[in-house]
Amino acid sequence: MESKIFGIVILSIVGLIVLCFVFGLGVSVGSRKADFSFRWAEQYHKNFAGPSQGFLGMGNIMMQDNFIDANGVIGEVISVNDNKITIKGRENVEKIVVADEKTIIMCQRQNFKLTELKSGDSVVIMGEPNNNGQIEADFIRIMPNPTRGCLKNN
Amino acid sequence: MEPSIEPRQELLGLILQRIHKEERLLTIRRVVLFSTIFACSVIGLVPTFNMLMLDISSSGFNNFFSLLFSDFSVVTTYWQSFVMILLETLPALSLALFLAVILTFLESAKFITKDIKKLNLWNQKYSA
Repeated sequence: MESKIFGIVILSIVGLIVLCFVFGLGVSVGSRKADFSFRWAEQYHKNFAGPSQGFLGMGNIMMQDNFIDANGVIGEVISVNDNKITIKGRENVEKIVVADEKTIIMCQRQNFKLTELKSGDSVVIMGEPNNNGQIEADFIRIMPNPTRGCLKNN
Repeated sequence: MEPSIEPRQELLGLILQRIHKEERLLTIRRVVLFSTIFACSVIGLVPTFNMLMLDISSSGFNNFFSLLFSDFSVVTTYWQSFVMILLETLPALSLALFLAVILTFLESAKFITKDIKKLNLWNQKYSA
């Protein structure tokens, strides 16, 4: 009887630890997303030279559904200017991705340079958010074009 | 002459028979209840699975997760960003819902099997 109660107590403690860990993780991820979304909306006019709510009221997107993902983006390249890539992500949210010399850009097994990225490329980007509502890219994976594959921009 | 206060000899058998009958009835009720839950969970599996798949593809979770297979060395180098983006895109609610349905399905199947086995044993015992 005592060992059964002891087992229940131990299980409850383990359950509580797991619950607290998961809750903490959720809060941490949520806070990062909320922080990034706030900075993204705040810097919108600066990054995209448009109204703070976005040209199509995109600032409301984070309020309607979810906050914006802070550590990555999947979407289509709209433009590449210097080291800044504009991406049209899900729900048509525009994001600025900043690349540097350390950023790895790949399509299948080929390494690409930033200048070889072109508008219309589908990309999966992983990185860290910065204070300007942009993503500093660590890795950019270009999805091969179904017809042309991974042709470089020569 | 004093009246006999001894119970009838067959009384014990009758009581046990009655108890078994009640237990059998209870087991049948449980089988019906869990069969209903099982059927509901089977029906619920399809929409929750579809919802999960839709959320996985719309959040981009599958695209980021596939980097683990295509770019393992990059993922290990930037594992913190990778873990964060997976957590951000993980469709937690639909995943929890789907797992809850799976759990209900498995648990109800377990109870049904157990109760049916019990019923079969009784049937064999009392038909013999």
